[in-house]
Amino acid sequence: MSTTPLLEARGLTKEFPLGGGLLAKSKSLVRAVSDVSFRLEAGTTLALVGESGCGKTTLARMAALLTPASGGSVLYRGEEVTGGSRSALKSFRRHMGLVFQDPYASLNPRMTAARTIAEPMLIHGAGNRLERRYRVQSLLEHVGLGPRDGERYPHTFSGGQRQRIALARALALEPELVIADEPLSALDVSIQSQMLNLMRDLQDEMGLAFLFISHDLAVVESFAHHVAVLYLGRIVESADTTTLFRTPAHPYTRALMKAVPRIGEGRRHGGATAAPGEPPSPVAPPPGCAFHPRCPKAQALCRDQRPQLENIGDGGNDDAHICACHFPETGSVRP
Amino acid sequence: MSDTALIDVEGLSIAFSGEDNSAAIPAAEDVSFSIAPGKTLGLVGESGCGKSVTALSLMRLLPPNGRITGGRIRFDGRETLSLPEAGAAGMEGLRGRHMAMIFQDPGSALNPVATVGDQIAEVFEIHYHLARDVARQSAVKMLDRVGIPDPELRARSYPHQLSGGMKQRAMIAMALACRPSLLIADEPTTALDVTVQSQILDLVVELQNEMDMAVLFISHNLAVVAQVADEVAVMYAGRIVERAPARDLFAMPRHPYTQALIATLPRLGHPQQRFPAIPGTVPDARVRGKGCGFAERCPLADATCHESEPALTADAEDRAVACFKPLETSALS
Repeated sequence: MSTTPLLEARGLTKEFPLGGGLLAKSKSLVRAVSDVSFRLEAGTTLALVGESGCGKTTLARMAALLTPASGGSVLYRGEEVTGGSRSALKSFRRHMGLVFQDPYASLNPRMTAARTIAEPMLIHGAGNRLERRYRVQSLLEHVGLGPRDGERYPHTFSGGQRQRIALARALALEPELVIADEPLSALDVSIQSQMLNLMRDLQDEMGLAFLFISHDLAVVESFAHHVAVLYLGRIVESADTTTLFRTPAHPYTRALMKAVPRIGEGRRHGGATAAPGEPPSPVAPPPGCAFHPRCPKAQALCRDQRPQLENIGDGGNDDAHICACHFPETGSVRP
Repeated sequence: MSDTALIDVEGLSIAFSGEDNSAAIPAAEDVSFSIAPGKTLGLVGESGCGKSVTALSLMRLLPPNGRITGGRIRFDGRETLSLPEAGAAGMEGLRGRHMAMIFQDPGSALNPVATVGDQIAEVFEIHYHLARDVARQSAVKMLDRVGIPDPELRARSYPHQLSGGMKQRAMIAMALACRPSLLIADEPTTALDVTVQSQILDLVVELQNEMDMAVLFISHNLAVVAQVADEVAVMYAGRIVERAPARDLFAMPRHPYTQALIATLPRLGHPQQRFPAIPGTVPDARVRGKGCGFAERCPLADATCHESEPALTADAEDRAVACFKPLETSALS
């Protein structure tokens, strides 16, 4: 609590109207994200992990102010930017870059790579023509592309190269923060590694902070400093990466880890399912703890009462290990 | 191998005709493998390596601009490339009944305007000429078998009313309705969440054991393939570069590409500062020169590797590798 975090979410909630088109009166609301809070320190990476429908993308979009929150607030360097002043909003946008999942959809097909990368500078009126051109060249080089690649159009690049262009664009205004929503999932593994190394180098060099959305636990374990696990729109567990992976407390976190396929275990023989069933729909959330229908440890209490996030760590406030479970697991998953 | 194999592919080459009159682009070259009943071959590689077109050619379902330019496929004693398309004795009679396929995206493989039950019942009607109500009952049984809760009700659902995992189960039910002897699974869990993926892998293994099916399991993910395969073939730039029993391949890869692919796989419990990467990108099939397809990215490549293409050569231990400088199996492990 000593320092002001770079980015802070306080009680972010998102509700979408359910059914009903333009003409129909919408009947009810579905909660995609409920009361989520997190802190991202400068120069570090916070990973939001979870399965499809857990609300991680909606959460990232709210944090980036691309989707208005139904409740809660986003603070940048301690200043509220949700519903805040125009100047706070503009300053926030200038200091934040975005990378999306699909490099085929996130680049304008009619813009050259150089123009795409220069676009944020044009919008924010940064630099003169010569400075912008110089900056574009240096960014291309930074993300591992050649100086002449700037003249090419997106369709001539591979997926991995497109994602590098998207990253270069995100870095154009020298942001302190990059919000990356599944930036690797469209890439082959060998290309994923190149991208991860690049992101890590940029973090070391420029002191970038990443809000990193991913479903890949093994990548997160190596790349992130802190991790928040989401289930049906809520954080169910959060801790620094080492603590979370060594002593996961929520049965869902443990199930996720157990379900990750590994080499060296040999052929499976069936029957060792980590968690039965599938993630529930936010349209009809289970009562009590949302995970209880799939949880091996669920008891009556879990069906009746939703567990609150509580600090279960033994460390101080800075290393809080929080978990929302009536019967958290203890002990290490490996020596 | 080939006398006990259910399916035997030998020297298969596939090409796609380009736009205009440009030369045909090779998508797979000289691909050979065989699978025995009850066994699983994992076919691994990155996007564009030719694994999916290989699978489609087994079913003879290549898109119109794709063509088999060489090789042979023998399935259960029949040369499928010379079979007629129509009739019970042709490919139509094999597909769905003796060989079946499941895909990455069940959403686009299922008919959106027919109920799941009707789609499965149709398989029984076509191949077994069952009466409608009997076929419906069999469909419900099949849905039950693949672990769909409340199968009576679900048989009346449309695909959009099912979750991704349930749709994949329904597609498996449809593919396995006739108890085919060969199942081709093309990235069947790639679109699924990791907890659901684990369930589907269990289901495939369980049904395979029950039906003694041969399975060709295609994936870009080595760890997924490790869950199901007895033998693994690694494809790169249209060719199989290494083939070995699964355990040996993962423990002692011999092709530098296989080794690199294993190294790039992030592993839970082994956090790392640097992510091992393979430099460069896969060569463009349109402009590929002579030499080994991996030479440009290979740390061991020398002049020979850039000059000529290594052939897939088998050794004594059921392993084959296409490399002039294969890694020593003893030096690793």
